[in-house]
Amino acid sequence: MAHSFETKKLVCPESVSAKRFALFLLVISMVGIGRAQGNGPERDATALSTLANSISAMGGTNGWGNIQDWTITGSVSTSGSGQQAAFSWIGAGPEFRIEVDPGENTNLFLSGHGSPARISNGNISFINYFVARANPPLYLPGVRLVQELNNQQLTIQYVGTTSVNGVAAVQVHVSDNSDAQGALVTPHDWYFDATTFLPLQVTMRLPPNEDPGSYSNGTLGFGSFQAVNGLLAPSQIVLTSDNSNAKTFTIASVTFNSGVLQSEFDPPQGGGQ
Amino acid sequence: MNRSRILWAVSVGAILLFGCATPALCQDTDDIQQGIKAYGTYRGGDIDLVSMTNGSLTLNIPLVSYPQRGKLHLGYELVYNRKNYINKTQCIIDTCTEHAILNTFGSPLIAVSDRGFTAKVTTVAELGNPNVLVGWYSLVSPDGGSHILGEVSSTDYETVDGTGLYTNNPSVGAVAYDSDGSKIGTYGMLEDTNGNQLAWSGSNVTDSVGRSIAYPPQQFMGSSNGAGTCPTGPLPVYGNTTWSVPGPAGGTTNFVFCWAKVNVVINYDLSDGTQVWSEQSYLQSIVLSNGTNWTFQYSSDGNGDLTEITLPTGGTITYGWTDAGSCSGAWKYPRAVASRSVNANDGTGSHQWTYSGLWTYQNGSAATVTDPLGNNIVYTVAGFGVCQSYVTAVNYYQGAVQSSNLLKTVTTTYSTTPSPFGQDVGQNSMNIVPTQVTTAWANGKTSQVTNSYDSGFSFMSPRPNDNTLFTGLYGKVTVEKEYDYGSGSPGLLVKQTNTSYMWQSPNPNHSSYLGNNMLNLVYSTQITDGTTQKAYTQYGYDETSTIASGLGASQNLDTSVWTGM
Repeated sequence: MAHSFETKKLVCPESVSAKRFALFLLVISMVGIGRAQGNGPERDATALSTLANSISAMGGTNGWGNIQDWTITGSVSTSGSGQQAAFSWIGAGPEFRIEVDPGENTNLFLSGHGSPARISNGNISFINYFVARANPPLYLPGVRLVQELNNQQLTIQYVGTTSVNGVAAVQVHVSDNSDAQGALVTPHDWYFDATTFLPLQVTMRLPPNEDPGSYSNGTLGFGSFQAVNGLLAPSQIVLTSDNSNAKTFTIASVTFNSGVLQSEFDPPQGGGQ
Repeated sequence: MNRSRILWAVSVGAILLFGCATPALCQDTDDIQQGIKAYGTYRGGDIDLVSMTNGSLTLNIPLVSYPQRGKLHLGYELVYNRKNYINKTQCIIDTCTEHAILNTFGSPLIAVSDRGFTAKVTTVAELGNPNVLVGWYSLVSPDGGSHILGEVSSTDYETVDGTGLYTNNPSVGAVAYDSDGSKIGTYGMLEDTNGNQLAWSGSNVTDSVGRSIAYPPQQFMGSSNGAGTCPTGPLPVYGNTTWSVPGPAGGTTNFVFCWAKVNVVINYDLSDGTQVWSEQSYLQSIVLSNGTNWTFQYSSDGNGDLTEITLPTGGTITYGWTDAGSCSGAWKYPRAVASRSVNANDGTGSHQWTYSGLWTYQNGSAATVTDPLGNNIVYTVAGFGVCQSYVTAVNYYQGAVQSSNLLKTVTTTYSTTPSPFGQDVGQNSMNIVPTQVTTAWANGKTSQVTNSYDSGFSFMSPRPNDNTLFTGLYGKVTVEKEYDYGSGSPGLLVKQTNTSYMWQSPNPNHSSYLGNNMLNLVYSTQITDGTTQKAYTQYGYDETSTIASGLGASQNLDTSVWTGM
């Protein structure tokens, strides 16, 4: 058995160089942004002014900047199932305590000061940190937008104009690209009413605890803004996500600066799986 | 940049590049394994195979093939990709909810090139350090079979399941080389080892004789465009797509893909028990150029299982389905074939095979195949780690499963080595290759074949800050020993075949052959009876000038000591 064979290099230097360079660019874009480059993350003026306009429309920077903690209660219903439950969202800065009480059960999702946990029917299990990181208080746009304007680590980019449910809108992209995990789980896009600058919706990633890379996409749609101590907050929020039934949150009460204890955000001692 | 950061960056970059990182899918644990796994065991017919370790169905229905120059190959086929659900715990403003989510949408039956690889990345949390992610690549073949890649160097990756596949940079797309050294891209073969090439532009190809061929339609997107020339039923036709390809005598051949809406569950919310259903466009029939067609029917119970194939000849293959078990913790169990009935449309009616098994993937668990005549074959599996099961014993019975009916038993022993991949889910083994196959007949007569493999290659641990080197096998048999029949145990060694491959040192130009992944080219074979050489053949390729056969002259046998592995 013999046949001719023209020796060739398996690895083409040009193509590999191009590929390696493409990978290098990718790595730089994903990891290097905002890290020790001196320039900091991109925060364009149009995007920043859009966020500032929205904060003004909701009551102003001073008012929202003075919010130290918040407690929001209401009820949530699931489309298609008719199921209803009470909920509460308690937060202070980056910490949160989310509670839903569907009947006999109580479900909690706690930020845990860096060690997030869930409690379901009294059973505590710890959640990966990136899940908490993907859950800033987007449901309270006034608080969150002030946080984003003040956090110089965040990339804030003006995307352009679009429409949301037939309403002319302005889109701004926000993400924390200071590290790879942040670049993966934190990107979200705000859509503001182009006339009133009230937030119409925010789209975000929903990374499952098992694997941040297999995130779903979610949307919080805001409606019926109402004044609380002169600050506008949505009284209805609709959560939609890939493959899931929509959930409508109807807000019954909003309380600011009630002196929430930091221990609210931690699971009870001695539990965990 | 330290090693952990490189891994991090590559993983994240690749996730974004491919838009895929479903860990359960990517790890391909045995319960959700698709396609043909290396050294797996399957039963079925010419176009369908049922796995004897997880009950999954693999289909390969050839559509069209175009002869090419040299060793180039270009062909298209229908494959059936198993639909799996993966668990996801999502925490947001409604607290944490657990879902079993369908991992792929659209038709499970798709037309693909019969050669081709895509690359995917797997990300898992480091054991004991869940905020550190570890990533590795795999090559995925058209049937959905997945092959984990070991990082030999920053530009060289080789599969670690004995398949001998190579790629030089999976992070930017899959251009792989099979063990022949043929270059294969996502949509098909690119180049053979003699330099013959297919010219690809995206998914379109101009073949080696100048024909332009588009890739077959994958899914039906958009609004309904009616039935066109599609046959009716079993479901109303939602849309049709014509795939026009070169036909005989310079003409054109049309395949009409007909799509129907199948209602399947895409999400089980485990927290509140609700289900989300969705109408998905499934391939219902393909009309061939001669007017005949393949027709496919699916279950309406939310699983969307393939329940019947009608062949162009009018024959049918009907499948019954059941839940398989799960070894990866999947809440929604994968589906397994419970029965397969073949009606050849020859007037003899339907003939059924049944597949019964618990599909537990545990040591000693078994699947039993009963043929239309009532004969049984029992496949017993062993697990080489969680979710890594292989058939180790096959018992053939004439009639019912009872010792008096036992015809023969074939037992297989595998060798494995510790794996750095998938340890988070207990997948501790790799290089799983059969080393010993023993056949024992009912009368006690027993024979045996043993295999030894190449010494393989070293690759780096995929885990951050881990400098451990691992060894992967190319999967080439270097020593095969065949033992005679004995009574109760194998008899004497009657034949030993020692094979040395071109890529193995010190064979001439071995590094070039290895560099081109030409793993299958044999340099020499030596046949012995265990001690004395009986035959020796040496092969030459590029570097050896033509040698006269020696016929008619005295034989000039090479009696030098065999130095291969």
